[in-house]
Amino acid sequence: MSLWKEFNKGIIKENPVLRLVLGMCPTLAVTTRAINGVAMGCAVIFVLLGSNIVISLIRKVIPTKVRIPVFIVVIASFVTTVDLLMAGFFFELHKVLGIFIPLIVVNCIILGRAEAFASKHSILDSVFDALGMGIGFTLALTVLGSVREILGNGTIFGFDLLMSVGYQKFIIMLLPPGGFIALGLMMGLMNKLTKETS
Amino acid sequence: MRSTVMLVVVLTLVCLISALALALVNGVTQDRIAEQKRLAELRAVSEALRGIVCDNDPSRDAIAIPEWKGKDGTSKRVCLGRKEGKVIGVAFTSAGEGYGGYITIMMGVDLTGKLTGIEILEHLETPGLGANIESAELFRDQFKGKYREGSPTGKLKVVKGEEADDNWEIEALTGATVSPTGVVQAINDGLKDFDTYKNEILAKAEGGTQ
Repeated sequence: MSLWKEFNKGIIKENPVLRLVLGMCPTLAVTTRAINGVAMGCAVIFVLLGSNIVISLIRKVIPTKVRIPVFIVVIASFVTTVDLLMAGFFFELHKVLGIFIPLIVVNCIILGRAEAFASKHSILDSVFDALGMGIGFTLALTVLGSVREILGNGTIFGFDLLMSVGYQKFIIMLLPPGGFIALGLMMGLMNKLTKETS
Repeated sequence: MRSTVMLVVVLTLVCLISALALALVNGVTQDRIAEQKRLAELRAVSEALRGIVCDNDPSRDAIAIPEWKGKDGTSKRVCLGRKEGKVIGVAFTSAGEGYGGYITIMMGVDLTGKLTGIEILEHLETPGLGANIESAELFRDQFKGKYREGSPTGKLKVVKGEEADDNWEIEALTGATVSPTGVVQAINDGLKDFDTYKNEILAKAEGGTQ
């Protein structure tokens, strides 16, 4: 039951993007296409899962004074692993996401979960926390990317949705202002929905 | 004292283990990454040289021209398209200023200075507008067969809102002029440099066949 709670909180109640407002840099920058959101999300899930497991595993032997450097070394290792694997196996996607993969190292979500959760909880709890937070991040980015791609380009995951009916592209949605507008509206909608249910 | 030693030991161990893990991942992926980069270059070169029919693999048949420096200061690598051993066209990279930074292209030229094709390699243009230089095939395809002779400025030129009916005219994209101008600037610079180094390239290329 408590495991389910650890998992569930990251998706809605403490969604990293829509509630904690963490990791805004990749959130706004890469979500011009739905597929970018999925790819970025998967990279973050992998890193978060890896770093949460390792940090939870070694939490009792890390001296408090050097815990942050240790966290950063662990996180940076997982990020570099993802970066190399993506360059080798998903070359095109890697080119599109570019600098934002290495920048996962400084993504507040990862260090935040390491410091606030994994360093104080058991491995199993940390796994579910990482999965919940990672999936919450991925969902938020995918929805944001879908909205921007549909409105800005008339497609979803590269498939034609509105173009065949003569849709006039709403290009600002693909530009930085469109990212802020879409994110703001999503946060507002989320607040309204959660308010009504509670 | 004991706790200070512990700090050093733990941090050293953590760094050591992560270095080992990364060395392992690098060993597994480095060949694949190199292969992917080579394939990407092969695609770009064959796209740039698609106006001519070569019987070699131009991405592997390349020479370096040390005096010819790119905008980043590195020597140009010139890929040679040959037919029966004779060079009939070359492909090389060039860069021009776009809206969001440099646009890097791979361009192909035959020996008369006529373009055989281009491929956009890297750019930071606006998605949905300038970035269409990469996705709009009609834009990229129009470069094949263009040449400078007859142009009043001696260069290729971007035109807007009219048909690009002359051999030196390039039609801009809808809603974007800066990015196509950057591409054309890269081509004009590349053509000028090709004039300068053409003899050297050919001399080196002939040496390579023997």
